[in-house]
Amino acid sequence: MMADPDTGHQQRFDQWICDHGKAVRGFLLALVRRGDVADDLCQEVFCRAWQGRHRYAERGKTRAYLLQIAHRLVVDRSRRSEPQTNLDDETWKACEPAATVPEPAQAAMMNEQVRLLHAALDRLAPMQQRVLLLRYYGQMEFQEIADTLQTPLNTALSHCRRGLETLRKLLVETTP
Amino acid sequence: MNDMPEKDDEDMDRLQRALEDATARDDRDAGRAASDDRDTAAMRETWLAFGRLLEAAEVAEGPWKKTIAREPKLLRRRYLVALTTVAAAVCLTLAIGWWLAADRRSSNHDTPVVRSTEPQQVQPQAAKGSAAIAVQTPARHAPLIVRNDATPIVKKPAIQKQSAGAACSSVWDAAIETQITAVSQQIDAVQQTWQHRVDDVDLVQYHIDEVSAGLTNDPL
Repeated sequence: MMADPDTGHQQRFDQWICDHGKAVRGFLLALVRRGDVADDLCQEVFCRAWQGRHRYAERGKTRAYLLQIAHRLVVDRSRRSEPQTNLDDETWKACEPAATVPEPAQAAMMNEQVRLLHAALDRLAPMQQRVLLLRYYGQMEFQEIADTLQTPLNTALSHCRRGLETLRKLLVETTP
Repeated sequence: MNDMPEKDDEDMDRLQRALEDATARDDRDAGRAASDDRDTAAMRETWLAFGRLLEAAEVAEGPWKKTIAREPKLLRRRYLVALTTVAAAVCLTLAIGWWLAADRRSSNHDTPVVRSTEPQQVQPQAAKGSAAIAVQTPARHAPLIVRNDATPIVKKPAIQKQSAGAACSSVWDAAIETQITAVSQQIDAVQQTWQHRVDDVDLVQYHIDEVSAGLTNDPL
């Protein structure tokens, strides 16, 4: 009796979501800075991974593979730059049920950290952002990062070092 | 001359090792170099702070809801196509069924009512004649056959015999045929008249062309 190949794919796919979903979403969130967009792109990443399941060869680099897809999606999205319509507050309140809101002090602290992260990312060049985020979320080797970004290894290393220096300056400035 | 590239390679290797130590996921991997090199230790500290900020941003955004569609778009599209095909087939079947039922109802309605207890007044001669025509009528004249609802066959044994092979009794309506013939003749007459006029116009045009050619060939 032959085993259904799709069953194996599906089990692997479920495992991917559990193991790498959070990292992929975090990577996307840091780049697009909007939770809803990050969720949509995250969905798209896994859809594409599923569509390409027959072509994927397991080599223990799943997260790198997923982050490569995510990176391409972010690049595509920034190229498209379609106009987006934001809901006004009243419409949003009507559409969105009340969520569990954290305590004001906790919310303020989280907002401050998010603001600080955005400020840090703003100071980084796009390539620096990607190198650091691929390294953080993908735990990729620098050679892999260079391959993903289609850049020489020494350029990727330089971006990483300069990015860290920039971040350090910012953190020194903001630390009381 | 060859010393420079080697030195560059060494520098790059050193930088790569330092960055790998500084950005390692696990503190145990980073500990060795970080304790030796002040720059690497500073980068490590920055890296950890960056990681804390990223985690805080994720927390602020809320937990990730694993809403990955179990059926990617391609499969959904296939399901949609299959669903549409099935729906179309069902609609077609219903339409054919309805049409057949309507046709059957119509046939039943047209079939003379054998159980009728009140036969209507019908001219026997006309009925006989019409039945005879119905038998002789070729299939291509079918539209001209008018079914006679008013003819109770049960009361007309002669007609029953002649039309036994037919699904229903039909009669030839001579009045309609006469009208159609008359209209056809009128149409023919109009067409002929029109053709005469077209011929006249052509003739006039021919003469005009002749005169025009004469004027062209023999200028005044």
